[in-house]
Amino acid sequence: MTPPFLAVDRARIAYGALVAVHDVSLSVARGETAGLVGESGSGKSSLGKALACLIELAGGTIRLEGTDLRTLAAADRLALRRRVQMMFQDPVSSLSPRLKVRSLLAEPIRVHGLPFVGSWRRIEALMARLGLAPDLLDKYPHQLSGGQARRVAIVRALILNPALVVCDEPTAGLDVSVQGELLNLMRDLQAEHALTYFIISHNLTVIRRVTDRVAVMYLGEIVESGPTDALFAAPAHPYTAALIAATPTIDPTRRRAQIVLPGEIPSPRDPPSGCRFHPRCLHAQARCRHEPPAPRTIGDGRTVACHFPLG
Amino acid sequence: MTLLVDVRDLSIEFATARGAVHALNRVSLEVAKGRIIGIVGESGSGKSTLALALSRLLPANARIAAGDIVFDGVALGTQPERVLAALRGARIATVFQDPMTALNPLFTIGTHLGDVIRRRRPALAAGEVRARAIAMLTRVGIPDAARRLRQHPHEFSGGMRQRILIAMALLAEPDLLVADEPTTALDVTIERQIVDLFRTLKNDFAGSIVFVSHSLGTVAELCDEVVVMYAGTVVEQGPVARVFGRPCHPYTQALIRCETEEPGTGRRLRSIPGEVPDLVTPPPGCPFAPRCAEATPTCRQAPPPWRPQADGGAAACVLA
Amino acid sequence: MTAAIVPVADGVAAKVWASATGRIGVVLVALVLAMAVLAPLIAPANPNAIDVSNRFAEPGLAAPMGTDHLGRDLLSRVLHGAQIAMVVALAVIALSLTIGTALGIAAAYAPARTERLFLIVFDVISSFPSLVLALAMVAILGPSLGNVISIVSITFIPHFGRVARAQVLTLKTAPFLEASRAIGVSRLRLVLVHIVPNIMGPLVVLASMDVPVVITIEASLSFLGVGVRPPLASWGTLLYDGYSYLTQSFWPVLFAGLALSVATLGFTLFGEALRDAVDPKQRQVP
Repeated sequence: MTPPFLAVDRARIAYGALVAVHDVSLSVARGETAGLVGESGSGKSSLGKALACLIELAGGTIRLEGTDLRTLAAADRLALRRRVQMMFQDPVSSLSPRLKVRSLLAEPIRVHGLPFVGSWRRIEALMARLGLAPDLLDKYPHQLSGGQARRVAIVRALILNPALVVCDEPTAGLDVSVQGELLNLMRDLQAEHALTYFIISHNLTVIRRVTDRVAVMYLGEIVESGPTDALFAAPAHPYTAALIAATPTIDPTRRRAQIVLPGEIPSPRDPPSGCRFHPRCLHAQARCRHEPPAPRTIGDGRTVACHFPLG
Repeated sequence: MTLLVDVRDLSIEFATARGAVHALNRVSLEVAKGRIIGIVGESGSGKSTLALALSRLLPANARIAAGDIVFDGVALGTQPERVLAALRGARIATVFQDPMTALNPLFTIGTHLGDVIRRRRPALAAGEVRARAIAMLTRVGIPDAARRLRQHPHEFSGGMRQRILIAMALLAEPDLLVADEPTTALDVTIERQIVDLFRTLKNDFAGSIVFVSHSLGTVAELCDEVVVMYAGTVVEQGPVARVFGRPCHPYTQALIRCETEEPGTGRRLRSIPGEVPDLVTPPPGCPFAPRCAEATPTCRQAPPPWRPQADGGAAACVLA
Repeated sequence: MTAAIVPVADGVAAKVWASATGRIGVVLVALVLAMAVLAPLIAPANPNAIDVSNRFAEPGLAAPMGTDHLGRDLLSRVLHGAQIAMVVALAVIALSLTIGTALGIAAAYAPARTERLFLIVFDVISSFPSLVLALAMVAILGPSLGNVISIVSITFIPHFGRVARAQVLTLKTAPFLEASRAIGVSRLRLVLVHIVPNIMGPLVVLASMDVPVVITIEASLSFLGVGVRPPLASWGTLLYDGYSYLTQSFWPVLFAGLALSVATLGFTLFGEALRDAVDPKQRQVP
């Protein structure tokens, strides 16, 4: 059996004493759009950065196309950068402020020793594809609009022809009326460049619209995962249900039954015992306080970590 | 229904290095006593500027180019600062977007709340002030209120701090409560808690509320009326059910479509092509015309007519 | 958010020129630099030519600033003094800025214990008043132009080091550094291409405001006799000589003092205008 394109096995990420990601396992198939949804303290951003090899795992493994990322030698790490790229939340601040766009786009070429002429032709083609005028090359990041900066960041990520693109909150700061355009563009690019996306977001509407599979994180663990449509239609974990119901809707007939979770999101420094969600769960019982639920499959590629799943 | 706030043809400009930014362009709005008005819009719509104008908290480089705001019969434009300062925090209270920075980290919550109460009712005894503070904290959903009065802002989470801001605004017993994107900086499940809190509080609150948000759904759930803004102008307004049920302005229609569609994975998503116009040089005619699928040549040249609708409200469009 | 960290550099020159004090500063700085550069060409006489018959001459056509106690032309000595002041100031600033920045960056990226060591060294050096430290070290090593430059540089290294370290620490969490690492940029390139250009703003302003301080320190050292040695003559030496013979002629003290004041004032005004022009705050429309 061929290994999955991306396989995360019992990943653990810690910043000193603070455990941001506790015990996360997931897999992503080639060519699909996977989503990771969660609120503050869920650890989703840390996991995303680990996938892009920007931070080290404290435990567990990440395998890309079968290769364990932790065992890579320095030279191979550079080559890895050509397989995995990242799109950051705020495009303007992800571009080095004192470099012109031309230098920013030339940097990946220089760092990886790619052929100059061929690569620049690629850049020009990508810029044209994304609707960026050539005169942008001589501007600084702070002179670009948010939309232009976002597209420059996309060009920069695609120059290296990656296989996996990790997107951290791709629609952050974007008005609803223009999100669709960006997401359509990302879909087109996915087909044109054979990309696999890993989209991290707290915005459930975006996740529901563009992902094939989604995993829901709470306080460093995955509480539920599965195909997007099925998960949204019938969430199995109480937290997922609360998240879905929390989004305000215009149409009063489509408003789901109100689920207002009590309390605050606990700090990752001091997670609750047993099931981490039990203090806020409306269905919690004694068992939930003492015994952390192990993820189990509930049919059709869906997993849930709950003693008393819904439905 | 008496009018609490009457915004008349208000135009506000900001002086910047690039030139004057026309943030608000002939905006008119009426807030009746006891009503909850939602103001929705995207970036550059001017909704935050309008919220700041209502609380008279505009920054130094803002200039009221035309029009005025009449608050309970008093035109605010010509008033000296001390009159405006007397209104703020007493008759007009604001809940800001960012709970992290709206509280002074050096003072306890008790001090914050006490200041508000004492300003509103200077004659109260210390014990009564404390009792009111505790009662309000409990009412906004902060448990163990007596102990938490002694704590400082950094000991509270974002959602809690927002509740404290709401408590402070309510303790001022204002006639007008302006909430400027109070849930935008919060996590989804905490946002739901705060929206729910507003829902329970609004019934007991005697004054009017102006709720500014980019979220159509939140406004639909909480407000009686809604005002839709685009590029510094009001494009449509009316009762929530009418505007969201039968939107008349192309922008409102497009915006609702973008927010509510459920294409399922695989289909193309809707968006409004183009960008918000540059507010330094706003286009003549209807500001939405460059992006409007149904624009006519007249739309681009002349400002759109204001068309009242039979089932409530009005829209600024030839087609309404 | 990065906009708040990285000062905007557009139009700095224009802003400096636009302020009245900035303009005065630029003019005075240009004057002093011209004096320093052109000294050998425009000095009317050899600054070390002794003519005992012409001691304490009043300013006149032959000697526009008069002569000192050895009959040496004061104008020539003042012009060459400008050269000394500029050479020392610019050399010291260049050295301490480079070394200080490098050490500051290293400290910011070093593990905690090493960083603490850096900071202790910085603190020890900067806890001595720079003049006292310079005096002590010159007394040990002997006065010479090279020694003066080296010693004063050392006293300024912690100054730049601490600011550089603080700047790097603010920048460490900036997304563009992570984005660059995601592209595959090496540590060295990250520092040279991405970090250094973004921290230079405050450092350059600091450097320009330190120039008058260095000028004064050099003049003080020379005044106390532990600065440059003859035949080199700094303004400090001129002041000392003039002060010794003040009752016979006040012209040397006047002109040397004037030169020192003009240089210090000019660089101070320029530095302040530069600081105001490189303003990290940006106004946004809400």
